[in-house]
Amino acid sequence: MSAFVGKYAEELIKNAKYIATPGKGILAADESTGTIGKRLSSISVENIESNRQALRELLFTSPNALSYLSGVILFEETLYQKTSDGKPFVEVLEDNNVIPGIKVDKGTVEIAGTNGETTTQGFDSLGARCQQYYKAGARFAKWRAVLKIGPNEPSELSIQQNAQGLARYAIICQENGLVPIVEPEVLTDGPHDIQKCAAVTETVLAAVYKALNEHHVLLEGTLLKPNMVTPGSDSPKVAAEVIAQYTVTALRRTVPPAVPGIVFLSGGQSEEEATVNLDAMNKLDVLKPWTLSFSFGRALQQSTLKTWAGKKENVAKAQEAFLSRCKANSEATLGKYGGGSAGGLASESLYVKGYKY
Amino acid sequence: MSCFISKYADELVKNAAYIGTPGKGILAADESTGTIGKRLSSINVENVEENRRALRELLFTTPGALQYLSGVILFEETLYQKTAAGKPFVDLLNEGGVLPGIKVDKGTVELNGTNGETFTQGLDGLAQRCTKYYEAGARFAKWRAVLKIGANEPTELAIQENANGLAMYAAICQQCGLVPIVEPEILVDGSHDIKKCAEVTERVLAACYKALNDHHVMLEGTLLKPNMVTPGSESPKVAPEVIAEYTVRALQRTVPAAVPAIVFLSGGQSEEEATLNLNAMNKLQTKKPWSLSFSFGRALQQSTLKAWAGKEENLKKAQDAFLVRCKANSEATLGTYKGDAKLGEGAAESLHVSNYKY
Repeated sequence: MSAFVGKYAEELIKNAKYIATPGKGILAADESTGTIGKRLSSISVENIESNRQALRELLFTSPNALSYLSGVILFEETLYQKTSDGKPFVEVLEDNNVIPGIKVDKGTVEIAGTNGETTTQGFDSLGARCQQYYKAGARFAKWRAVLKIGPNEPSELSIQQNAQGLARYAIICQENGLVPIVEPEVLTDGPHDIQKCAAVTETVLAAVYKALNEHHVLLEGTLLKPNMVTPGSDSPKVAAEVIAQYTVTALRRTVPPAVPGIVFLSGGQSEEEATVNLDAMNKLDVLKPWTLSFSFGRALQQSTLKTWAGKKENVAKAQEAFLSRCKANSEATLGKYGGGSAGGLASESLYVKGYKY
Repeated sequence: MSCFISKYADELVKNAAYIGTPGKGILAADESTGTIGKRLSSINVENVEENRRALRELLFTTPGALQYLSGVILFEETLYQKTAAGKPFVDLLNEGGVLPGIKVDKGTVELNGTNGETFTQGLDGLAQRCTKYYEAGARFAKWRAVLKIGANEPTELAIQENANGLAMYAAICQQCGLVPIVEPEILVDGSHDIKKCAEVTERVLAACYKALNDHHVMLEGTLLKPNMVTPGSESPKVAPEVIAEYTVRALQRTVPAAVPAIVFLSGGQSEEEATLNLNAMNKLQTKKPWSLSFSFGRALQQSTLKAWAGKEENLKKAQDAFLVRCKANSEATLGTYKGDAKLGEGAAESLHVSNYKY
């Protein structure tokens, strides 16, 4: 094959396929210490390890929520944390058939000579780190590349750098037993229309899959985490069916059928928007050779966070809010979401301009 | 979209989808004058226009055959020819529910500094030619790029040049209303194993689809005509199920779902081999978002040619042989071929010619 078939090949294929199980999706709980700090401060909670631990314990022990998840992406600190009873988070997840994943990139840096475009760091000792994470129980990884739309963006340089970076990260993961989630996020920032987003998304995804082929990545052992195709943040909104149409068309034109599942990022959409859009895609009557699911961070946790507000007495209610979003998104992966799980909080836009994790 | 939306967009999508109709496929009858000359001489028939016309009439008027075809690729001369009774071939095909197609490339030339690698010519004035062909009734086109497997081949240069050529050709066709068949043939010549062929095929197809994206080609209005993934001609043969597995996997890894149909070239396989391999692919239980069909030249005509031998009294025998192959391949697109087609003389005969040039 042109794909590298290493000792983990069968396991990678099996795990990627499992993550793509219809009715399940991913909780992205891999906020870096800095980013989770912003979340905690928005509910007036101090950014210390015990609070970060308490929040993730709240999520992972929500009764019945884990049945809607096939994976959870963790930040390095969280991979080694335990419940207050002393049970490792990794075991809590495994006991509930949820595969632990790990964020392995080290954030973005600007590409000199461009207009604020970035590339992603994290290659130093990546192979060794992946081995450590595998030993700790992780079975998939995530690396976020970021592109933006502007008059001259994304530039060919940015597209190539980010595509090559994703491909190199992906093959290193596969060499070390981790299913790589390939995430080329095209930011929503801007006044562009949905056609422009579609054109850019297609160009970016075509470059990404060319790079993955060049680097001998085994597509059957990967997942894609793309943006949905939407109008820019400064443009009028469109119906979910329109988003579904443009998004699925873009994916059909670029993502080879060998990829088992596509898990969308929510990118600043409100909890309800993200769910309704995902549902519309799964209702679309067109041939889709990969499953369409979620890998949501903010869009799964927003109302949960607000309900919790850092207070022990709110945990049960917060967990109910979390369960409600998990269930809604599970239904959306099956095209069966009936709407109506939106509390006021669930409709709140989570858009932050120039969002950095 | 990142693709250019031609004024013919809806028509292109409709025609491409029609060509991919399950149960149907393409007859590649676009042999250049030189190439058809070789075929005719193999049955001792003179290479004059009347004989070329007679052969094609034989094929296109075979009772019951056209229902198994969604398209026929023609050489330029044939596009303007008629039956003996005066009916234009184009009309005959259209009445039979078969789309006329046209070969638009002008053959291959060597790439300087390589070990016999080639690129394909034909871009000059292509838009004007396509417009003319559209007016004459053509609705799809074909352009054959050729790559070979060797110690250092295919080179990155050959892959890039051929992928780029295919993409430019495809974009121009779409602007002129013709569905482009994208054909990146990797020759079977060589002693390599099936894994090597798979690796090269995946690399070549990935480059093709990147180039098509770069050139803003609308994939929903294209077709792919690839080689099957097989061992080299000098290597031991393998079972159809193995060919099916490697071929479909290579396609799953490279061909986006937006492409409605994949129509294989037969590349020197015998008539029966080609049918059995196609059948095995369609039986395979795995993700196939595009239909898998045929665009066969030699593998549809070999026994027909032999039965005809250029003689009018053999017409019925020849047409019977042609119908047998059309029906067999139609069943193969549905995975229902039982291998029981009455084998005409030569149906099991390998059609491999080393370093084949059209």
